[in-house]
Amino acid sequence: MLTVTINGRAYGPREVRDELSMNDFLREYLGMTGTKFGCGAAQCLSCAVIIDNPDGTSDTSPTCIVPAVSFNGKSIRTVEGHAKNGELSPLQKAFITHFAFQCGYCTAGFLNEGQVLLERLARNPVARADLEKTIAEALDGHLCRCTGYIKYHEAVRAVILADAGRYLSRA
Amino acid sequence: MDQKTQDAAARNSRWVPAISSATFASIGAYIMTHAAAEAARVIFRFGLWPAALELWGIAPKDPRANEWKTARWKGGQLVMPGLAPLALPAVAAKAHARNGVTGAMTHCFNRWAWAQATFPLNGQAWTADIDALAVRRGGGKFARLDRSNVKYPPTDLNKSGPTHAATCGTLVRIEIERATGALRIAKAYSVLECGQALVPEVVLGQAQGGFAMAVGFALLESLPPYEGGPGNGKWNLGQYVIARGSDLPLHDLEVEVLSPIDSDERPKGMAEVVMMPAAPALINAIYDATGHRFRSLPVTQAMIKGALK
Repeated sequence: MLTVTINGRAYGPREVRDELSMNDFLREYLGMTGTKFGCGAAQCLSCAVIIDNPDGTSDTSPTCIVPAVSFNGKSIRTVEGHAKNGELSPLQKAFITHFAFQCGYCTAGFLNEGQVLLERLARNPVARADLEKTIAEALDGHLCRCTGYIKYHEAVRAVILADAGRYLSRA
Repeated sequence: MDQKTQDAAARNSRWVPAISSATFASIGAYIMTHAAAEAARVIFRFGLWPAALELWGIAPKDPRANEWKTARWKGGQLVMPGLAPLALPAVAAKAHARNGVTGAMTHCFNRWAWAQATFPLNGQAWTADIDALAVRRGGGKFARLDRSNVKYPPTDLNKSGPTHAATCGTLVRIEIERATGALRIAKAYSVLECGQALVPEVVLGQAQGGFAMAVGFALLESLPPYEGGPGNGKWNLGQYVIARGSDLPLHDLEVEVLSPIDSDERPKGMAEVVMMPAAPALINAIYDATGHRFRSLPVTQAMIKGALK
């Protein structure tokens, strides 16, 4: 049985077969097609969603080869959950103003990863001198064939620098 | 086709050598932007400009009435020296009201040069680099105009290859760790000319993505034939290795897009060109660093290490 909270809304309990992937559950059962299916081997991370842990931290997780039932009892965010009342999040706005994406297929994954990074830095700021390396490590798991990654990094960095007091330490 | 066939066919004023041309990369943008620009020029010359003259109170015999090429659009307004700027909605409304040309469809053909023809518009002979034209006036229907004096580029120009392509050059600086053969791209610079860049941010994004693709081709991507390769149906991104952020000089790739020659230079389009020079630049840099000239791709870390003995 599967019960999961997605973007603040509870789904289930629902009977699903053991081998149903979380990606298929989102895309085929719920029609939430913002999360993409890329390689099906947890390499590209276009399928990644955010898992919000009970301790207040968050992680990203692939969904392509992860069973839906393994998300039972969890609270997750997908790309559909970033905008609030029709207003895009700061990171979404930055992706647009920086022309960060091209075809858009990897974008939900990058958005989720970038958002998790922002929230992590808000809890544990880093020094400005470590910022580029921090962003690079956070995003390196995500593959993109169109952009060469640069504008994604610049967009994430811009959000951080625009609110340096929140994300960067005084060091 | 041979020249005689083209000459005979061209006498039919509805005939064109090809409905549409190849759309790869640069040439697609060059051809399509041309057709759109020519259509816009017809609408401006025979719809918006006469409407603007009426709004400015400029009589047909006034010498300024012929200076439509001096007009410029700035911030959505039509600007002429010494006259009040006119907002596009007002000019368009006037064009509709006076039944001027409010829509145009063009067809163009290029074979190292544009086909050219003359069309009757507003009692004038309008000669342009197009071979078919239809216009609508006010809210009316489109009507095809009959062309005269069509001039097609000679058929023997078919022997020439693709044309009107953008050009790009790339420099790279690499560092190779002797003990492991690991290669790091320290710095890269690409210089590109593509005529008029219509959306510079997209041109830059394509240039960045093209560089990344070249890094994959030159250093990472291997596709062996037969059973040892993707033909065995078992390959995925774990075997077909494409560039990640960590493979790239994310903050050290400079792309310089040269300015157009003049403000009237057309867009050439650009796509593959920003990938092409980066791969040989990398392989040449490896030669420069190691003295070994590799002649097949990819050149992997293991291969570089092997060459360093």
